[in-house]
Amino acid sequence: MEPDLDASKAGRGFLRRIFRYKAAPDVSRDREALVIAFASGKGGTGKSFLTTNAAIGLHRLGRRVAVVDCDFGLANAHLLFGVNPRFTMQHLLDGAISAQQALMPTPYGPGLIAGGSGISSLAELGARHMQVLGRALGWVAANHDVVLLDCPAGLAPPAMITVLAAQHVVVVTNPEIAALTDAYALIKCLARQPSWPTVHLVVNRVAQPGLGRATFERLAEVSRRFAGCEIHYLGEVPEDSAVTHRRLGQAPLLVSHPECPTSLAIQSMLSTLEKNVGGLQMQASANQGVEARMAAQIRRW
Amino acid sequence: MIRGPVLPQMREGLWALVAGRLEAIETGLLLVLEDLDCSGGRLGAVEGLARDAAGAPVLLTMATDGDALLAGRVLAASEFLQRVGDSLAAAVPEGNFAPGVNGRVVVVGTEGASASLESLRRLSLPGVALCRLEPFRIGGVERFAVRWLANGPEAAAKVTAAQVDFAVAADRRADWQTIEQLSLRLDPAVRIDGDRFLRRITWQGRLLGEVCAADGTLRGSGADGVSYRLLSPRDVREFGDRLVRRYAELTGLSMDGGNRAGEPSARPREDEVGGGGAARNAKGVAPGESLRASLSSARLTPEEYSALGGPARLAGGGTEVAGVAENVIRAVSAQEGSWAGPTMRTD
Ligand SMILES: Nc1ncnc2c1ncn2[C@@H]1O[C@H](COP(=O)(O)OP(=O)(O)OP(=O)(O)O)[C@@H](O)[C@H]1O
Ligand SMILES: [Mg+2]
Repeated sequence: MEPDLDASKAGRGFLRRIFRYKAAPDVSRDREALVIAFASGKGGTGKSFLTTNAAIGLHRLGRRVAVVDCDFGLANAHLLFGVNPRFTMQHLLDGAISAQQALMPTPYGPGLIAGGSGISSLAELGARHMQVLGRALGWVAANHDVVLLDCPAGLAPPAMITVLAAQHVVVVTNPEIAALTDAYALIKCLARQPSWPTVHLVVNRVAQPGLGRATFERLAEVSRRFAGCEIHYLGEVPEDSAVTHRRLGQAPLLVSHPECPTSLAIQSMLSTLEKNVGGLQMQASANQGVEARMAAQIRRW
Repeated sequence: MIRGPVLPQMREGLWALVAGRLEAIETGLLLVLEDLDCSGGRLGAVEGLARDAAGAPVLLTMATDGDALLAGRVLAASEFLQRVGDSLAAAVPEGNFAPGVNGRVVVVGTEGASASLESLRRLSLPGVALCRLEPFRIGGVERFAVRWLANGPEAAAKVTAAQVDFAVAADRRADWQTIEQLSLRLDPAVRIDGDRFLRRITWQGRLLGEVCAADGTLRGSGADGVSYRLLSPRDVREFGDRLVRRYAELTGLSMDGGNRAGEPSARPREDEVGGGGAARNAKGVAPGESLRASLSSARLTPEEYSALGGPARLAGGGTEVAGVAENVIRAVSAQEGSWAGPTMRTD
């Protein structure tokens, strides 16, 4: 029902002011980037590799995309992008710089907020830091179409809070059992929360074609049966020696070998994600943007 | 199933395998460049230059059977590091090497190269570390274990990884010792092993926790994957408490009986918190349950493990083979077929 905003009637001015206030044009926050976290239970499954290359793929599709390296302890997205950041997450969390200052361009298109690799004061992440991060993510999301979060491995509260701030999580696993059980632990943990992002799965480092699908089916079945959580398959990415033998300073795979099977698999992963999600672009955020989602989790810490 | 040697016996093949799994050789090792000639072309190039978790340069060379130039190459590499010193950081900026830290030469060999490794070990070259890869096969998957060899003529050839120095910063050493002593006091079956930057604390092959030393700090992580920053004595106590609890859980001494993860919860549902989330709680989180509490209850049940295809031991049993695998210092799974070298069945 339309509210009655006729100010000529007595007593309605107040209502009008309220509605005006509610509709106050904070245009930047009306619509927000789609926030997608790349996460895994086990470390080293290929989150950073996939996040950086997916960001490049999205940039080539014409999206304004930013990567936020939330791997607070062992950040490496800047190395994969071949940039030497002047400011990192540490400066941001210390309040020394704004999100705008922390965001740096990369030679391949996506913007990046670099993590603070091995900086010891990052080890003391608390609720206050996560609030700062939430605000920064709010700003980044207001100024991009897609924001990719490269999350730390494991189930520590800061890692979980970052994942829970996203609308979608791409769980990156490998076919081997250790990665699979850790991926499941993450999914199970997510499914225990009051609300959680839509879960997608990509199986990385697949040595035989088809192993990814089989891995997904097993994990999907266990997730459904024991955790009550549906997961969506994005595809498999082959084990590729060009990735493992990549040197520091070398261009990301999607740039150096755009037609190789691994790059094609990443692009196919993106188009499946786009289909599953209904478009990789800004979305109406109402009043529940990434900052609010993060704040809700911080309150539960 | 018993199998013959499955590791590549050629340097190139072995390097192809190792280069992709440097993390398995040592926590935090990152490849910077390949093919570094330290001997003016006389002794062959060293396969890789890497950066370790402390930011020091590491020259990696492979030892295979019958490589007559190995000792010369290792010596040249070690001299090279001493000669160039800090100027390596400027010459190879992409390595991000930390100034003032000593480089190392790491020689990686296979069973077939035992004799060459042994003679290198007797030379006891400073700044040279030797390790041997030992392949095995478990659950249809090839893995290899990394065994570090102690330097010097007096050391036994076969040593455990715990004899590799743990690179803890001087001001964190006391904290590490506290954790180490606490762990070893728990039970004679507690073992501590790992590499230069990582220590795994296990009881009868089952993980109690890990401690990682990198960039001057110490980080612990519990068996449930929750990580702890070990910055103050309080952090150390908290982590120690986590280890003790895990031990108690495994040995059945644990007092906290209830709330095993994965069991259907009878608790009421709570409304969505963030609103932005796409899914709603299916198995239920207790109203007002903290994030931390919900994390600790996410342990896998035996049913979940076996449904995922995990080994029986994880499901509460205890097979010896799996125990061996757990005891291995760093075991890396490699899908069959991705091994560069030939395989030979002996069964
Ligand atoms: N498809 C692939 N083929 C071969 N190697 C791969 C592939 N994907 C990733 N890798 C390698 O695996 C290693 C770990 O990758 P990456 O750093 O992306 O993992 P991560 O999940 O971000 O790790 P962490 O948990 O430490 O942040 C890297 O050496 C990377 O080159
Ligand atoms: Mg990473």
